[in-house]
Amino acid sequence: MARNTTILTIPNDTSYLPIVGAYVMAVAAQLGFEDTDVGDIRLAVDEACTHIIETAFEPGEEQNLTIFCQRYPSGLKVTIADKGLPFDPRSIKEYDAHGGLDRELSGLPFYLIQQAMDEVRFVNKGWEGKELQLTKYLKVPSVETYFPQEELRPYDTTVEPAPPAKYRYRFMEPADAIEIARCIYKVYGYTYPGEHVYHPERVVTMNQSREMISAVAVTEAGKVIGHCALSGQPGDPVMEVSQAVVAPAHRRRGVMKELVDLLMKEARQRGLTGLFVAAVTVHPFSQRVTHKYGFRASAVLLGYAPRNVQMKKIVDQELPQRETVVYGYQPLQEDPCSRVFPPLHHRSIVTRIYSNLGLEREFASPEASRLSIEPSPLAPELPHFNLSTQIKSALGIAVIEIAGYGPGIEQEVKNKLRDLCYEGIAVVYLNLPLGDPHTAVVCQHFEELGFLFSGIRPRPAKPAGPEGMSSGDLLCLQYINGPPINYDLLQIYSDFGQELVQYVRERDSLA
Amino acid sequence: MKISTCVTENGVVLLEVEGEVDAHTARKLDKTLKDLLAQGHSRLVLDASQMGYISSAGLRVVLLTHRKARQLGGEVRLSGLNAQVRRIFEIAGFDELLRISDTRQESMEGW
Repeated sequence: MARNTTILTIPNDTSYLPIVGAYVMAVAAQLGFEDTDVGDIRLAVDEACTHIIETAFEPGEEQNLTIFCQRYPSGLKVTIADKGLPFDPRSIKEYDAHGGLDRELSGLPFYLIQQAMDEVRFVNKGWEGKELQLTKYLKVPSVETYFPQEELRPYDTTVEPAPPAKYRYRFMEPADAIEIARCIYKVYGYTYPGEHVYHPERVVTMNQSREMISAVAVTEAGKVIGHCALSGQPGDPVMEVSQAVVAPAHRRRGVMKELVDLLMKEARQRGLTGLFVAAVTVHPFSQRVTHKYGFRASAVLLGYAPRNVQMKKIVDQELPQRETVVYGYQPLQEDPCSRVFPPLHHRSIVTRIYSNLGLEREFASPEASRLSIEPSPLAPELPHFNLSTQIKSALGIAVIEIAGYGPGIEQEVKNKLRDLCYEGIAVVYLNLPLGDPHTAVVCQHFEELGFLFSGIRPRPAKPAGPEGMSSGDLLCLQYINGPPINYDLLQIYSDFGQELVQYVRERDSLA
Repeated sequence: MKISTCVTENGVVLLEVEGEVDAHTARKLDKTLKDLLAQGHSRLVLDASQMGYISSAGLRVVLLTHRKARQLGGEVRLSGLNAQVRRIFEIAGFDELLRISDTRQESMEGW
């Protein structure tokens, strides 16, 4: 068992709920959560366990629930695992906290869970059961508590260049964290989509846990004038390059290139297979810079961030619509040719994406006889589907990822989509395994639900026996649950990025 | 969880709820409140000063009782909520529907 994990197993009986409550409160309090947050975590876990006990089992069925508490420097992840019936989102109705006396109450438990936690994720693991993962981050002082407001004013971009200077490039030290947060604040205001960067203590703990690898540029006097980071979950084969800032007086001196080079070298040493960037489209500059560093557009994520992401101060800069980002990818290792099964109607653009990325893939067509995902006389016992859903509350988006197909998958996606739309999620992204032959056929069914093509996210290939390598790449779709995207407002830097956006636009019936 | 009830001189029922109201114990609270309504009591004060926790199951019981009590010309009032219990009522938006007072005395006034 991992050293950061504790486990409690209880029978599926609500009389054990106080034990669960005492357990998670003790872990949360020991981790340093404030009383209010300890109470919130208890509430969410209690509601989740109650829901599972009351809905996932047949009357009289004796089963167990296992509650894992995983401690991280940035917070606590509670996973509730069971082998009961799959979660049925159709049973949940929308809850309106400002509704009248006759408000519908069946959606209240999940509303409380969403309100109490920072991240909620449903994972269906087929025959191995299902998991509900609840994450809460520790509250730590934000950058605003370290500096008076005048020292957090946006950089003057017309400032005279600093005198010629030598810079040192290195990985961050804990003492740099406050200056990093200030640097990002002064460039982005409170608009950077990822609240961690504004909390110096969290930047330190995430670097310690390797969820984040920060590189800094410092002057000879030791002042931080630039920052860039890799971020992702520990063990991810592909990490994101983000939080790139250089103080204006030190720009046009190759500072960012040095930082990116340092991070790429580190990423290669760690054995990462690739890096990605999510570059905004409200202006073309980030895309231009990332293109220069070798990232190539492989997907367009419509409406990825809200118009007012963390916009606590700079209200006059609210975006005209939810912010679309261009997903750029760069392989770091030799990428073996693996087999993909793109849907026939997207084959030409998928070919173009791989060509633009410089990746070789074997395009295969599925054998029709092997494609059934519903039981038949030929295949009476099919594997259960494997699907997970992650809700990113701060961005107002959700990601459904299918790792394996099985009977009922289309209905499950339909139910999830409806549920997420009820909850007011603005965009739902759906990732399909391109190495799975079913994707070639099922993709169109999801598009009939209103999902649009988004692009490709390359992932490491997996050995598939004597047949060779099975691609780990994801085919990405997206569903906009809100106002149509005004494509004329998107500023796209690269020719291929424009081609990709045009491809998506032509298929968007609301465009 | 312990519940004690008493009927005051003006017919208002005072309930003291001690302990935690979760999906398991909410059934007991539900039964107590339903019995009171069935006996014609619709003016109910729930003293929660000794309540350590309430889940959605408990909130549901309180709101459904309040709805019924309103139909009968009364209501459910709450008093003495600790910070965490009050926060749960507020997250759920129940503070907009129910009269919540700091003290039992305030809840007993103005029927």
